Amino acid sequence: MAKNFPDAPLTPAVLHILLALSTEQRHGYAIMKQVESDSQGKVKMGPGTLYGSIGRMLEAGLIGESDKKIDPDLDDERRIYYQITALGRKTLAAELDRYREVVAIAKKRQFA
Amino acid sequence: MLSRQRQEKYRACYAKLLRLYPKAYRDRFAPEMDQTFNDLCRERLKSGEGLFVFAFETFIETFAAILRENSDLILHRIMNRSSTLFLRLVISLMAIAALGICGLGVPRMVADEVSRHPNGVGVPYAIMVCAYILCIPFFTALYQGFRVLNLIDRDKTFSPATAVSLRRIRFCALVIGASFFAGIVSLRILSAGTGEDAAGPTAIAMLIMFFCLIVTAVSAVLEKQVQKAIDLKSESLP
Repeated sequence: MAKNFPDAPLTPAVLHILLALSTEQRHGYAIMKQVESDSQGKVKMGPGTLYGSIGRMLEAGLIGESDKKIDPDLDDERRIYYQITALGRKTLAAELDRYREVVAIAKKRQFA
Repeated sequence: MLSRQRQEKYRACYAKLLRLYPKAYRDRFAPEMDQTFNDLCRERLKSGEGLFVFAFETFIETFAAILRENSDLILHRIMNRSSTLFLRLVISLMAIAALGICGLGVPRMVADEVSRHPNGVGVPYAIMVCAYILCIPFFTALYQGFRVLNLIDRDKTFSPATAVSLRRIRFCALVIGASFFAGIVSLRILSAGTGEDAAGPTAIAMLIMFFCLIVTAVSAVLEKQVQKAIDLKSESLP
C-alpha cells in the first residue's frame, strides 16, 4: 500500500477523487464537479482541499498526471489532466471491499 | 460587465493568497488552483449567483489548506532533523558553557588568584590568554560538528566534505589536548617550585585531555569509515 495511505481508511476526499478518476481522466475542476455530483452535494471540496489531496495522492502514486489539453466545454486555457494508476485502482478496490464488509456486518446485525 | 470586473478582482486576490503556500507547492499547483477558482467564479456568474460569499468561503478554505501545507512542511523538516536534533542541542550547550566559562569563570578565577598572590609572576594572566587562544580550536571543532550534522541531514554523510570536517575536528581536539598536556607539565614544574598543590587544576586538565583523546579517536575512526565509503562509491560508479 502507498506510503502516505497505509491500511487505515481513505478520507472521503481521496475516496471520491479516486472514484471520479476511475472511469476517465479529468482535470481539477472536472474532478471537483464529479465529486459533488457523485456524493449528491454531500462532499464539497474547495480548491485548497482538492489540490492538497491531489498533491498527496500524486506523492503516494495513487494518481498520475496525464495530458495537458484544452477542455472544449470551458475556455481555451490548457489544463493538466489526472488519471488513476494501477496502485490507485488497487487501493480503491480494497477500500470498497472494506465498505462491503462493514455493510455485511451491519446487515447481519440487522442494522441496515 | 461589473460582474466580470469583480471576478477579475477576486481572482487577483486569490492569486495573492496562493503566494502563502510553500514554494514547491506553489510552483506546482498555484496556476491550476487559480484556473479552478476562475472556473468556479464563471460557473457562479452563469447561474446568476453572487460572488462575494463564494469568494469569502473559498478564501477561508484555501487559507486553512495553506496552514496545513506549511505546518506539514515544518513538521517534515523537524522529523528529518530529529535524529541530529539531540546532537545539535549538545553542541549548542557546549558552546554556551564555553562562553560562560571564558566570559565569567576564567576572569573570576584570575582575579581570585591575583588577589591571593598580588606579587605573583603573572601566571594567571598567562593561563587566561592561553584559555582564550584555545577557544579558537574549540569553537572551530564545534562549528565543524554542526557542518557534519548538516551534511547528515542532507543525505551527504559519505562525502569528501564530511571527511574534511572530521579531520578538522580531530586536529582541533589534538591541539587542545596537547595544549592541556603542556599546561599540566608547566603547572607541575611551577607548583613544585612554589610548593603549591596543583592537584585540582591537574585533575580538571586530565579530564579535558581524556575527552580530547576520545574525540580524536572517534573522529579518526569515523573519517576512515567515511573515506572507505567514498572510495567504494567511486569504484562502483561506471
